[in-house]
Amino acid sequence: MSTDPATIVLGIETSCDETAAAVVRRDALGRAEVLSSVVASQTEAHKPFGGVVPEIAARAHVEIIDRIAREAMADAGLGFDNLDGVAATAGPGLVGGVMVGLSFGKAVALARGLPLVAVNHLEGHALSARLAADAPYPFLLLLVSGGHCQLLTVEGVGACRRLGSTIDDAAGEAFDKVAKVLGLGYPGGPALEALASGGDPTRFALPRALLGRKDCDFSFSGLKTAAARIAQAECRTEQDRADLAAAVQAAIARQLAERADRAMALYVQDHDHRLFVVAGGVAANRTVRRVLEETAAARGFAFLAPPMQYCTDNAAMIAYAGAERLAAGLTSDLGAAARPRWPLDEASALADPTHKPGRKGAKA
Amino acid sequence: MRLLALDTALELCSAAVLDGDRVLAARAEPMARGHQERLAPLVAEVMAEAGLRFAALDRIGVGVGPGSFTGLRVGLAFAKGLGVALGLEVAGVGDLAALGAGTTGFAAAVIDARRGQVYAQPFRDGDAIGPPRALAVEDLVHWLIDIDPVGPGQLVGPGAALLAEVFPSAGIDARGGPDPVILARLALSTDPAPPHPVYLRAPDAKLPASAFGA
Repeated sequence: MSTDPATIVLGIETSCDETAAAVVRRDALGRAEVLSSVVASQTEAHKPFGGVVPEIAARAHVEIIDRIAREAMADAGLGFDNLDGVAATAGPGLVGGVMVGLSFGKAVALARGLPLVAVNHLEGHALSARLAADAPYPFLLLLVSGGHCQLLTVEGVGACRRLGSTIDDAAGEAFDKVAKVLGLGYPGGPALEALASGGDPTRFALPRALLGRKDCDFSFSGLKTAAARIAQAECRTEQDRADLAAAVQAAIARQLAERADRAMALYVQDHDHRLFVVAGGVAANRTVRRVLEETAAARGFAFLAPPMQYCTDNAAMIAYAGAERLAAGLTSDLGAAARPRWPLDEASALADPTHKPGRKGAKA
Repeated sequence: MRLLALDTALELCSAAVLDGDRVLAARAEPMARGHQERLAPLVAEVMAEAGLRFAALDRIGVGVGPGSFTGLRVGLAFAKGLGVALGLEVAGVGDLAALGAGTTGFAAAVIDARRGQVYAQPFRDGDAIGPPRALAVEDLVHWLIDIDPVGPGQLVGPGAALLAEVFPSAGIDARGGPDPVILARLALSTDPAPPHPVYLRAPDAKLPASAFGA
């Protein structure tokens, strides 16, 4: 370990279809400097299948993990002697891929005598806004991606409280599935947004989810099913398709904004500082971003979304979450398990499961 | 040359440290699952027993399969991590080759691949006389009889017992995986090219019937 009060951490991320490594320096005040961030996407390998195939993903991770880590170290201009720790995603995610990155990270830690931090991928996203901006704790977070849709209060590392979560699909999953029905290929989010730009969002009426409930939970599967039915029965022309894409995008954005608004009302009851952070790939959608910015403004919240490269899966957020944990004295032992299911707020997930947990426990 | 070799592709979690011909430490623990959790602590223990620091190593060896897809990736990713962190080459060793290396006469290394299949390779006095293949048990029997109508004198590996009735005169060694010292010796004598996993099976993934299907 160096005597510098700053810590430098190598992060490894392999929980879905990006193989990523990054080096992040955290100063004594908790500010991050990303020294390198390398992301290799497998999108092309999964495209023919219309979604991520776990075994294909795991095979791709193990082929290139060494090259990606070497690149991250070279880009940072550092040797392994300069590191203070190794952080690797240990879940939640596709467990075959998680094991590749976690095993690789353990080996680096063991070989160089460095502490290991097994990082929750969701905690990486939760802290990602701090990579590029001053985002003091606590803040209200909407994590909205292809795999997750949650509202959380983030009090600090290891201190996230869930206010709401999707009870079925993630928002990004809904975008991808509707895009697939419209023949837009995978990943469908950006293509659906492009198609929606020429559409009339008011032409098709789509169901509104969980109208009877006043909590912060989400549901997108009804919307997806209704959109699939309309696509088959009523979409003949390019304009029909554009109108449906616009309606779906507006419906997703509206639901995100409604639940965020409720969460803000709850949040201000016990917090003075009003900061609303949106993380995850869906934050790239301009319509979603606009309505969330409007919602935040109406509630007197500052709005912050990390730059795009830290919204989608990356290892800089994992390295930074690892550095935050190291600073708090939290490390993992070399026997750390990979966890396909790993809620960020385990107490809430157990007490009030949105997914039926079953024998494997709550998903996220 | 000092080498650390490890293997998690089959039903063992194993590691061995050699200094040339000398075995400094070797351990093989039977394990159906949990290799990922056990591997790093096991390697730490074996290195401590060998009395070596990681910086004193000259090469890493690893079993690259065939075997459990997840298992072989755990070992390979770990070996790659050691290689990158220590600036060392990694030598991949086929698990069938390591199983067959200790045999004499006509022998076959056999791994149960489930779904009625095996991963197998034939050997003569420890040298491979055919490629590693994934095939039905029946097809393996035909393959072996084509090579030598008498059949193999030895069957080794965690699928060896599947052929015990067909070749009753063969010696059965149903070990869960290769001897870590034999695997390490092969890694020492192999030309270390970048290691690649040996799956012998394509991933389970079906292409959608139509891009427009819901």
